[in-house]
Amino acid sequence: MIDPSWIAALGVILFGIGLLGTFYHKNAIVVLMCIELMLNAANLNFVAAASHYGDVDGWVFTAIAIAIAAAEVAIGLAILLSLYSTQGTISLDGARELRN
Amino acid sequence: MVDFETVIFVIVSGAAIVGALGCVFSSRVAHSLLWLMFTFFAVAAAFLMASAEMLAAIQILVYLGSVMLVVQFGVMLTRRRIQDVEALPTLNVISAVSGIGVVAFILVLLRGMMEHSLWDSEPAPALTTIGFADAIFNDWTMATVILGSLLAMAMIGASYLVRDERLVNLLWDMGAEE
Repeated sequence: MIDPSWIAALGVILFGIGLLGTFYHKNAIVVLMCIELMLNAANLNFVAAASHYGDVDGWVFTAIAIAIAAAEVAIGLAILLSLYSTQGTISLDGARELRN
Repeated sequence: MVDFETVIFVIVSGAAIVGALGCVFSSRVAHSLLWLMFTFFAVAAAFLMASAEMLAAIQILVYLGSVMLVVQFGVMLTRRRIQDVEALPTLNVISAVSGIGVVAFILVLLRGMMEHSLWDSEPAPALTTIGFADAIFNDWTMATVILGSLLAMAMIGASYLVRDERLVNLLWDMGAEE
């Protein structure tokens, strides 16, 4: 089996790229996708720690995180759709309804 | 002699990193989505290499099968043309500084991760899917039930957020005059 620390390192790199994407993009859907990327990096860390310690709880946390990510995407896209129907854009700079 | 499994892992992780970079730096949202699906496939392969076959299956079925489909619907419903070229932000001082900061953050985190004393201890024997099922249905039963109610709440909330209150839709099929 592969050394778990390598899987954790892959998780670190993917987390950093996702963080860069959340800074870099203005489109809310792409920001949501980058958040998914960061969640996946966290899942990789859970799996690495689980296979290092031989404790299956890390897998359970990963399954829970995947389910929560599905719920988060559903709610996030619903918010974006209602934002699009009221404002006509999903650019994060254009959404200023809550600002004032 | 390089281990065959190591070679496969390098290929898989390279694919994951290339896919993540493509997701961040492609100018079309639809292309970002396809790169992200590529990355998730590679992450599923990494799960397989950590002998977590069940999680790889969940990753492909739930993430690639349903979450990415939902995101694709979001892309379709919030754009006038799917292939619209996104105006990527111009590279100014702030974005350059934040990019350098994130890269430095990755390097520091990577060093801390690889040299952590956690990895010094001897690795444990491989886990099995039977143990995973036992943990999720015996040790974590309450968490699974709460997760189910959370998903139900998310479904209701999502359909509440995208509701349409125009009168013509509320009066549909009731024979009422508009």
